[in-house]
Amino acid sequence: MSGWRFLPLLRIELRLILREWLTWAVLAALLAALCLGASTGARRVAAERAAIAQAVEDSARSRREAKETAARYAGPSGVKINYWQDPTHAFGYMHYFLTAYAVKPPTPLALLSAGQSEIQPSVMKTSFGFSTVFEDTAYDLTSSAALRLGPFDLAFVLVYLVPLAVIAVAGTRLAAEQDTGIVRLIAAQPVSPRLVAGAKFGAAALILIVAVVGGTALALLLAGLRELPPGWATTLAFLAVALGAYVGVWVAACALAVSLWRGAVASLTILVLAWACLVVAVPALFGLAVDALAPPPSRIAAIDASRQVQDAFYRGDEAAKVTGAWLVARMPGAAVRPDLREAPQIKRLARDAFYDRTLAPYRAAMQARAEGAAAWSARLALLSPAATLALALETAAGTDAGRHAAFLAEASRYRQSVRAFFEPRILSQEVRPATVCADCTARLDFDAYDVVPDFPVAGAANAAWRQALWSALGLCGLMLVLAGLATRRFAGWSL
Amino acid sequence: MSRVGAELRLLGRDARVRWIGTVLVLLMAMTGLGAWQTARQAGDEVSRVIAAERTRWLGQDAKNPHSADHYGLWVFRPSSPLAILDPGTEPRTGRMVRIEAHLFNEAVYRAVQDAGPFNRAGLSDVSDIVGLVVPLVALLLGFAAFAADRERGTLRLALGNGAKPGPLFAARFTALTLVLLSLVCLPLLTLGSVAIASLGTEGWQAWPRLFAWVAVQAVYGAIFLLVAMLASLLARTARGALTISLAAWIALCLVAPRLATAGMEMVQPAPSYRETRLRIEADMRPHKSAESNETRAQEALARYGVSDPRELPVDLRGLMMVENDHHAFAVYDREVGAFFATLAARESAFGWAGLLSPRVALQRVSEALAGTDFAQHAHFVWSAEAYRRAISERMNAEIRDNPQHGGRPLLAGPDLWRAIPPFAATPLPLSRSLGEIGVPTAILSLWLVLLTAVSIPLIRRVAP
Repeated sequence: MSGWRFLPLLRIELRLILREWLTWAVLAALLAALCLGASTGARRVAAERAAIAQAVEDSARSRREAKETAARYAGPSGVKINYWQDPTHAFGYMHYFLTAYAVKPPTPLALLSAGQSEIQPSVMKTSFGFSTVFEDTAYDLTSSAALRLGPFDLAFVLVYLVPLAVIAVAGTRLAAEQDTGIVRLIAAQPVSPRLVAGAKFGAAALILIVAVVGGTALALLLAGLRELPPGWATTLAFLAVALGAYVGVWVAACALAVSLWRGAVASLTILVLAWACLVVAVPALFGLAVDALAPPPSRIAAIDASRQVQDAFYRGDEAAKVTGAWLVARMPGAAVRPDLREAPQIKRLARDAFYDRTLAPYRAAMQARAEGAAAWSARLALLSPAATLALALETAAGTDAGRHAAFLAEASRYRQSVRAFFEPRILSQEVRPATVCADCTARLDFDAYDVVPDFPVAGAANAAWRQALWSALGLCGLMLVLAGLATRRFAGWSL
Repeated sequence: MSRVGAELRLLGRDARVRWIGTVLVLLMAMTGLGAWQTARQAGDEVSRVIAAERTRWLGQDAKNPHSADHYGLWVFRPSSPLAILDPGTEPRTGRMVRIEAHLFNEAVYRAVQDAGPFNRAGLSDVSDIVGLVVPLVALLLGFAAFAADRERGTLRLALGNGAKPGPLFAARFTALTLVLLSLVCLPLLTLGSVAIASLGTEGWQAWPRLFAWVAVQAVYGAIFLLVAMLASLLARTARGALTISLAAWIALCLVAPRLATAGMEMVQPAPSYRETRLRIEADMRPHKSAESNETRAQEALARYGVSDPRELPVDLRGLMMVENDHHAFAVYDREVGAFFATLAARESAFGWAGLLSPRVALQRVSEALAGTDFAQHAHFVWSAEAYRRAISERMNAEIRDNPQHGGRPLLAGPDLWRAIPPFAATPLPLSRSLGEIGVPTAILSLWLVLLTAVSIPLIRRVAP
């Protein structure tokens, strides 16, 4: 393909495509869809940020109220203060006042994809009650109808609609000329079919890549994305390459379909059916595959197990035995004091530790499943261009299953760290109760409100750029393979 | 009739119809039987745990009634047998509620949480197949009805021989509808019958629900058959008709439903359950404070005209528990009630979104008829809450009516545990479900009527 002949042809094709009303109609519709997708994403991100701000405020409020209540209880009072609601006591503060949250903040590119965010919340209240058998019970109940139909987010536009736009613009290039007989005229000229096809699909690719990547950038700007923290610009650049390659894949697929020389409508039919397979059917099959490769453990069996543990603890003198063993493990000397074994605070700590230990295999199985499903999803996604791009967008948005699995694990560790913070304090207060104020009904032996550990928020930048890079490489590779196959098939004219 | 018979014979000889039919039936059978197997296993597991929970409740050691109230139990949402055809809200709203003192717990463990990102691609159950694939099948069956004959020149021949376009259209449409109905309705009826015969159906009015559900799916298929026939009347070639049909499928089955969710979010944003919970906690906190408890205790003593709790004819702690719970019940009724009402209104509003696409209307009608809609979920949640309140009231009354003045703890035993009946959730009747879907059913009918109305002038003007 010599450059001096290709470039003029390319220029002509560019002008032709840009003169067609269909091109502008398709691109305008696509731009509107991109802007709508970005705006729904921006609204979702704003709601997530508001939820996190509310959680932070709620935590601050609980600390503030605990301090105010502690100040009220600091002097003698006739009011009876139960141990479980005494903010001046480590147990009372931990179980009644403390309001701690595990949060998964949206990434700077969160408006790209709703991903799993609608079913996996980004704010989880840390609970120490028995109701939380597992970490992932938190859920913001919402409209089921909307969940079933799916969100109109940028990922939907880019993964589902962009290929259709590409098919509409490029799916009939050369095939339309075949239908009208113009191909015969072209074939009579001293140009090879590869040169003609290269110019036609190259021009379409240029216009579509610029329109899709530029349109997405414009939609992101209009939705309020201005500055990115360090590192995220690289992710965005890789995503732009992946998106350009995704467009390229579909343009190459158009060229391949046209190279069958079956005419315009047959090409369109083949392409739409290929789209339905790759974008809808194959991901659905992958879903079945993930369930088979990482089968979810039974939630009902886990509930039954949790009830068996609860039943065992309260049966006969099991509670006393468990509490005694728990005390021996922590303070060997204290175990001989029978009053400690009957102290409700100690009994509660021992009970929760017993539940945690006995149900640990179920929690581990659930966590392993979440991580396994995320890992298999990431591997399988590489086999489909649509799933690859969707995963890159979700990972950049921080709404992917992998990040949520890591978030659940971190939330579990956080709950344990908060428990570990309070446990020795509660124990020491029970073993050596110190009277601070003779006529006070509050215990007045805890005021470490400001040093309770906060949830360590993890970043998602590394996973985001890695996935974007892998997806970009995968899609570029596929684009080259399809383009190569099409080039091979355009060896001669089919007249 | 002879014309319909001839059309049916032609379709019977068409390999394309056999292939399409085989793929559709296999797809529905595999998905439906997979769902049936899962439902059977889950049903067995739930029955086992319900029995175990009852045994645990009745067999618990002697303890204070309030401790028993905290011990609680789990209750499970009864699953409709037709959930294997349309799981509706079931995977998204949770089926299990922990019943315990003080807490209006939400239903937990949604199957959708265990599903990976791919499971949201849109083909995870039979209703998805009906919503997405049946239209495609209808379009593939119908696109060539007139366009292929026009392309071959046989339409000119038929019209030239005096065939009237109206009866020709009616015969072809009837034949195609019969084929589509046999491909769609027979497998669905078979799957539904298997589910009804093998899964629990008590209170579900399962057979009327099944027939109504299948009838609606048939109407939905017929709508897309009409779209294909219209495309066939409009296009000059079969390929052109196919292009129009595929474009209609993408617009109506894929793009419009998502546009409906975006539009709904703008018109009627979803209420936040988290914010509802925050409001409930904010309301409860001052009521539960030590000072507030003290004030209410003094008020209770004053009501009985005594100054010492030991002089009361009832147990003060029990009395306070009753009052505290009544306050909590009122807060839950107000806040959770408002939340559920808003969510229900939003679900109903999706019925109007059926104007954008028959798929949106079908979803609303389908899950209501299958007994898996939001109304059934809300009914279960409130039934579970009523059961929780009944347990709390009984336990609190036991404490209140048996004052323990010597400081001895009150211990209750099996007699009290047996006084609590097992949880029995009855589904909402079919008449109630039908009342919920008036708008989307009317909209589905409107689609059918409008398409028929549009096709009449096109049939009259059909060109060879």
